[in-house]
Parts: sequence; C-alpha cells; structure tokens
Amino acid sequence: MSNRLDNLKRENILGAFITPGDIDIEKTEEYILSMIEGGADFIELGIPFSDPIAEDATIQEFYIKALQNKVNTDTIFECVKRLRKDTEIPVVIITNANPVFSYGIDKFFENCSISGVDAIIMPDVPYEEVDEFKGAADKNGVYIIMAVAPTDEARIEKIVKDAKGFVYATALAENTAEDMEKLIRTVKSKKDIPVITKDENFKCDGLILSNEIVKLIDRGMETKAISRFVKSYK
Amino acid sequence: MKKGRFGIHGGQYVPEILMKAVNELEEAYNKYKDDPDFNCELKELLDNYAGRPSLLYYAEKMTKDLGGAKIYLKREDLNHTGSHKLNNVLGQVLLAKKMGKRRVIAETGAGQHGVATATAAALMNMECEIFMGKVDCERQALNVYRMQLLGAKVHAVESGTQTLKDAVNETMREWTNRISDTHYVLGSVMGPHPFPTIVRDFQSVISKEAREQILEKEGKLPTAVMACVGGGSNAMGMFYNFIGDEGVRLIGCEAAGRGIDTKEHAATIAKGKLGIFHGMKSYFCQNEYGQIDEVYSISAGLDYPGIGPEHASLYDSKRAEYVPVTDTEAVDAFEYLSRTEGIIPAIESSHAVAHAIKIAPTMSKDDIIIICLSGRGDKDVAAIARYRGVNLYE
Repeated sequence: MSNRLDNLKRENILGAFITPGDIDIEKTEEYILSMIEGGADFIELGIPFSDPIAEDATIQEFYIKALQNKVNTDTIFECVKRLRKDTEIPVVIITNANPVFSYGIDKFFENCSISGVDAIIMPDVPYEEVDEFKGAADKNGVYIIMAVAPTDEARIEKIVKDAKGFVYATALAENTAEDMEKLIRTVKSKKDIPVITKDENFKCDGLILSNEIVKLIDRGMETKAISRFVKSYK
Repeated sequence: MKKGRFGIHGGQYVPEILMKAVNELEEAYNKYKDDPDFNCELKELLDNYAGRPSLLYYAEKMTKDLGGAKIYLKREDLNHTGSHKLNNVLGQVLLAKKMGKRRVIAETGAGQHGVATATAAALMNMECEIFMGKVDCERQALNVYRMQLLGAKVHAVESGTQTLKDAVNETMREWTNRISDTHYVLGSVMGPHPFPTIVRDFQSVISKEAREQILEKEGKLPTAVMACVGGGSNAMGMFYNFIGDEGVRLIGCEAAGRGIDTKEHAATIAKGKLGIFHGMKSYFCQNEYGQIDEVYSISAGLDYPGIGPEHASLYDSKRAEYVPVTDTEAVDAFEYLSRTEGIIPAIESSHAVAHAIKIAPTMSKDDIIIICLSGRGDKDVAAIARYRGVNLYE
C-alpha cells in the first residue's frame, strides 16, 4: 500500500498545522490550499479535542471554538475527502487518543483511508500504548507518527524501529539545544527517517508551523497573506 | 498483562516527553515502597503530624434516628488539614524528596488536595505551585488564601470549564516544562500509571485501620463500607483492604448534581462510557465523538468527568457498586450530620452520608455500615448557606 508520506522530501521539510477554530470548514480548505501554495510539504490537520493536554492553551481555545461551531471527526474526514479532489499533499491528522478510541478504532482508520488521510499523530499515545491502534492503522495503510524525546538510547531505538513517515522530536521546556542535537543524532543512528519538530531552534530535517498559522487566521489574515507567511519559512 | 492495568483500565496515555518522569517515578516507588526506613519516616509523619490513626466513631444518635444498620464514621476529617488528602500527599512528597526533587506541583478541585500539598511542601522545604480552576478558586476562596498562607503559589486556571479537569490539564502542561526538579503530586487514584497505584497504596491506610478498628469494636466485619467518589481516592482507600472480604459491600457515591437525567451531573459510572483521558483508560462523561463533557456538582471535589481505573475495574467485576447522589440529597445530609452528631462533613463526604441515610433504615440492627468521612465541612459552610438563600460571604 502506498502512502503519500513515502514521497516526502528528506530535508527542509515544512509542515503546516491548521484546525478550523472560528472559521468554517470550507474556508479551512481554502486556507489549506493557500498553505500548499506557500510551499507546505504536508498538512497537519487537527481534529478538535476538548482537553488537549499535550497542546498549549492557545490550541485548546481553537479546538473549543471549532467544537462550538459543530466541527467533529466526520466533518474533518469530509474536509479531507474534498481536498483530495485538488491536491495529493500528505495529510497528517493530529488529535488525542479519545476521539479515535470513542469513534471506534477500526472505523476511524478505515475512514482515514477512505477520505485520504495518510498518517496520524496522537500525542497522548506513547510507545507503551500504541499497539491498540497499530493493527487497524496498518490494515488501512495509515502511518502512526511516533514522538521521541530526550530519554535514553534504548528507548529511542525501540520507538524508531517501526516508525514510518517521519519522527516527531519533542522537548520539555527545560531541554537544551544540545539535548535535542543528541536526540536527533541518536534517531539518525538507528534509522534513516526524517526528523521533524515544531521548535525553530532545533536543527533537523523539518519544521511544523504549529500554532502560528491558526493565530494569524484568528486575527483575520487572508489566504494570500497566509501563503506568503508559509513561503517565508522556505 | 500490560503495566499499570486494572482489568482493561489504566495504562500510561501520556506524551512521550512525560514518559521519563513516569518511569522514574515508578522506579523510585518500587524502590521505596517496601523500604523499612522510608516506611518508618512515613509512619512518623502520619502518626505525629497528620494525627493517625483516625478515629472510627460510632454514630449512635444517627443509628437510633435511622433505626436500621449500626453506623460508624471513619473520621478522616480529623486529619491535619481536614481531609484524607494528607495521607497521600505526605507519602508522595516524602518520595519526591528521596528522588531529589525540590519542587512540587498539584491540581486541586475543592482545594483540599492543594492545601494538603502546600502543607507538606512547607513542612519538607519544597517549592509548591498549585493549579486550581478559576470557578473553584471563587467557590473555595478560603482554601486559596490558606494555600498562599502556607507559602504556595496558586494559579487560577482559565482554560476550558475552569474546574478540576482543567486544573489537571494545566498541571500536566506545567509538568512538561520541568521534570528534572519537579514532582507532580497527583491527588487522586487517577492519571497515568503509576499514580493510581501509588495514591491507592498511600490511602489504603484508611481501610487498614478501619478493618482493625471494627473487628476490635464489633468482633465482625461491616456489611458495607461507603465513600464519595470523584476521582475516587478516599473511596479506594476505604475499599482496598476490604476487597478480599467478599461479604463486605463496597459502595461508591457519585455526584449526580441536579440529577442524572439532566446534563448537570458528574456521575461517571451511571452516565459515562469507556474512553482514554488524563493518562488512563476508564469511564468518562463524554459525547459521541469522545469530547469530554462539562460536568457539574455542588461539590468542587467531585466535579470531575472521570473516575480512577481501579474503580472502573471494580465496577466491571461487580465487586463494588456505584450510586448517584444529588446536590439536594448531599446538602440535606450535610445539615443532618451537623445537627445529629455535631459533625460538619465536607460536602463531598456528605454524598456518602446521604446514601447511608437512604439505605440504613432498610437494613437490620445486626448490619454495620462504615462511612468514610473524608473531610470536614468548614470550607463549605458559606456555599451551603448561599444554597439555602442566606446571603453569607467569606
């Protein structure tokens, strides 16, 4: 089974996060197309969750706004389905474990496959708990993007061994640039896979613009300007 | 079986960046839990600082008034700081100290866990920061000031519903900033492994004492033990040493708020479904898409959309039963116990008292009920007055 992430570049990768927030889902699609025009290599699309503990309070606010606007897991799948008429850009869903679990794990990954979602990031599902989701993901050709953090070599090796698509490097606020360099070196020594982070200060294969874009959209920035904003990171 | 599971519940659903912290904690706990020096130090703190063992009090007037089962109260309200929360906090802060931590953070709902944490931090020279929903800060203003008096910094959490669930979110976020010198003192039998086990072990002193005390006083085990359940720490403490005693009914009393047929309740077992949240698999009040519901209870300490994983498992196996108790029933019980026994219970504990009032008359004089009186009600007096239309502010 092919996956759009298999064709991802190996360096200078730019991912762009978006979640509907206050804008409607059609407008979200327009913004996504503008992000692609600006040079995004993949889209990280957030399925809103009421209590995203791995995300900051800013993203939680956008999620809550989206939920108030009746955005849900199905409307996000529909959104990706419509996008697929216009673009083959890899789409990575980000959400917590519960929206996936409560939807029914099998049904969730089937719908990922049907609508054209390539991968998923579940920040609250570490290596220890991923098996529960893996079977359905594999069956439907959807990658589960795993996070790594500055822990120990054995743990990092275990995580990246089966990693697909790319690896998400995450850090505690107290981690230094040195910690992250070491982490990235360790990943690279175990597997030839792109390492991507959302922190501009860490040098690796790619960057995800995390809450920057949603904040700008919230302030009313139009699609053309978003496109230019994304381009400024190329 | 996987680590930290209670049947299908529990687990470690936390971001990768926190795995190091939870693994370190598990390792430290395994090292110290049977360590004689550690246990000796903890016992010293429990006996001479917290005031354990707590009394098992025969509520004679209540028993006669209700005319059924004999009622005993396990007086956790007599602990230093006024609730059972200190049992767990002394254990965890001592453990944190052994781990070389210098700072503790904690969430709090009613403020009881926050006060206990601030107290232990003051005693053991730790920096302390408490996260409390803004709504709870307002309804439990006295406890906010109390924590500040004890030297803690209190953050009013403005995200989400501004209650206990949001306080947990924010404390977890804060933990991802600093794990090297910081321990998260989780206040209930919830969250990722190893917290549900650690908190249960530290709270199990309640049933260890109660079991010995009732055997000494009555020469037999109770018919039922009951406790209020939010996350479920006092209930788990009250149940734990009775789980093996098959004849003893274990009854958890959930907050039904304005009724389980309304949207305003926090009755997780009655109305929730299986999910994954706050680090654990368990039952949660949630909608069809897995969004966590806004819950409600007059009691800030029970105003939580989930329940600890061991409770979820005890429910599945039918070893324990869980019943909903409304605001009105709890307030009535609050006033009843104050008048009848001269004991003002916390509004949380009042939920358990309310259920005892309901079932004691249906039982025989040979039956014995032990209610875990998890906290004292001084903190609730103003809120109850307002509930009754008395314009009283602290």
